[in-house]
Amino acid sequence: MELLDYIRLAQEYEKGGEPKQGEPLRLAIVTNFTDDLLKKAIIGMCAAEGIRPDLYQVPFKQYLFELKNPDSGLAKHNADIVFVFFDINPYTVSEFSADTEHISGVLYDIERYSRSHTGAVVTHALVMPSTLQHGRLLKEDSFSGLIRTYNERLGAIAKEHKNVSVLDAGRIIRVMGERRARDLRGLYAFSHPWSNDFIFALAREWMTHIRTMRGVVYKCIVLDLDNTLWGGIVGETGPLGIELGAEYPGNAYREFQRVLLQYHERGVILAVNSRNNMADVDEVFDKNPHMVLKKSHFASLAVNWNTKAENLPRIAEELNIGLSSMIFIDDDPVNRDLVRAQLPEVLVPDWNMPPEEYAHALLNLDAFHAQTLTEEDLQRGAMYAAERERKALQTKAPTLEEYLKTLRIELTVSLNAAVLITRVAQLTQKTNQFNLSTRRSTEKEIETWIQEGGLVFTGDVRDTFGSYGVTVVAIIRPVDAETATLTTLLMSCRVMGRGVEHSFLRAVAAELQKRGFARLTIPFIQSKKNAPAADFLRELGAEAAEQKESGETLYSLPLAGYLSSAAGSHSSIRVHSVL
Amino acid sequence: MSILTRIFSSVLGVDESAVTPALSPENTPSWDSLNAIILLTEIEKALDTRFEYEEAMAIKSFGDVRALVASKGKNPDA
Repeated sequence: MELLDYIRLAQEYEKGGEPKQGEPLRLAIVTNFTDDLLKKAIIGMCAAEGIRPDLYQVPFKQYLFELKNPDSGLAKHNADIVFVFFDINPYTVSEFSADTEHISGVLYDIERYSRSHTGAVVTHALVMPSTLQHGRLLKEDSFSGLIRTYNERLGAIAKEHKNVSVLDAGRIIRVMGERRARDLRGLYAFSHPWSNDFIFALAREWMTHIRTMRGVVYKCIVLDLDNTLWGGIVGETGPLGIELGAEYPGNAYREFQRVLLQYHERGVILAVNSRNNMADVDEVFDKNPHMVLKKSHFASLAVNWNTKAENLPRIAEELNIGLSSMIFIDDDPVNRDLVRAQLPEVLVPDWNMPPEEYAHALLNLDAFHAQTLTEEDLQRGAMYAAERERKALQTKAPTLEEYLKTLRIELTVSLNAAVLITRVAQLTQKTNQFNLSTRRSTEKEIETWIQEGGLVFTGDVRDTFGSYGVTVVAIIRPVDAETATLTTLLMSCRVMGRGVEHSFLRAVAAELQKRGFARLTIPFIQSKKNAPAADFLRELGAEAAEQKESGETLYSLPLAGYLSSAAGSHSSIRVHSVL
Repeated sequence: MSILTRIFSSVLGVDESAVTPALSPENTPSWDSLNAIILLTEIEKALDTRFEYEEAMAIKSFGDVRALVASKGKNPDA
């Protein structure tokens, strides 16, 4: 879709009429230029993705006042995400360039605002212009000094406040070139210093941020082999005849594999979907010394003569991830169109390009943005590959209960561990299947709840094959001396099917009883994806106490009755409590 | 549908059939000064042309836009 298509969607969305569909999201934009086009682009892009945006636009040139004033429209809007983007350029005088005090004031205001704001604040580094008053002698130039100071101090603010992040719009300008990104007539005539192309690219950048915050995350790259991972057709040329190695075009494929390996090391799952004989592919893994990617890097290998669209759901099932978290890369346009038509959830990038473009195109996909990387992220790719070996064991074990015993699962439960808050927030943002409320929370919100007496329980799971890290979370907020609300209960799909959720909730319930609570209220919000969480409630024996108009169902769980019942107790899991 | 019709219909949020030479800021509330800028830049981009500031400011209707585009040697029905 082009910018014009999003403008049309925004226009229709703002006109309203029938009740609006989609999940609500409060946004705010703070800039120092005419930002109506930016606003329309964001609204249109949200509407296209089933998000119902409520966007507050700071009035033109009012940013300082709005950031400072605790009663401003910006403060009252209480946005889930605030985007702060300022332009500084040498072609016109602005407060930024005319007054050295101004950036100190702006930074002070951003910091103070971020401290009192619970939502995310996405700021931008100032972009260095290509032309400067005193040529290229950066050391003496006050303008570049100003930009450096601002960016350094913004970085320090982001380090201190977890809800603040810094984006680099310079990346967009480097890709399209400053001449195409800036619009000087727009600057002088309409206070709109950017071209429509730049605004489009910036809005897309913000959308990747919005997606990340909302838990829309791509977890897995599924790859074709012939002419994708290597050049040529292995069935025709043999394992050593494929194009892969030190010379062009073999080195282009090798570098593509190297980038894939880096993603794997950062936690992205790799899988193969190829029409080939497995024996030919195994020979490549075994005999071709130029393969950067080894068989052990892949969590699933669908090498057969099925269609690509038949294989993808099987890979998703094997890895226990959704189709919507998969990217499929294939050089063959017929396969791409087939997958797009049959499995629209899968992201299928255009791959009509010579191999030298592959690595760049992969890095430019904008699909794997993460705000923070945790230990678990870094290990995920390796863990899924180990899961393939674990499944092999599963087929030998006669019953699930016996299989679980052989796994020697251990669960370690902690309470209010400050070092885990980043991971807890991330899990609330990414977990869709086993999630009772699918409530997304920021680190800042979680910290606030703990300060207010809330209890954040985390479970760390390990078994004979290794550690899964923190994968289960319960957030409890007390209502009165006897009753507490389970605002969040979630579990990563990585440890699903092992009964960990039951052992975890039992440990949590025991601790709550020790603290004098008698009852747990469990709000359940049904979503498209959280059927496993609904099953869990049934197994628990909790009773629906109240059906709210919002669609939320409140369940009530008396702790004493629950702890003395046998609901979901698993003897094979050893629970360590470090409460 | 011509490129010009598509741009006006999208940016102003009006039906394509409403995009006639008589369409003007007077009879179209969404044709305000902010959307006028978006119209201008989107037309310039789509038709690879450039309007002088005075030319853009002199536009009083969709008919004027068509005439201006034609005067730049571009086809208003493209």
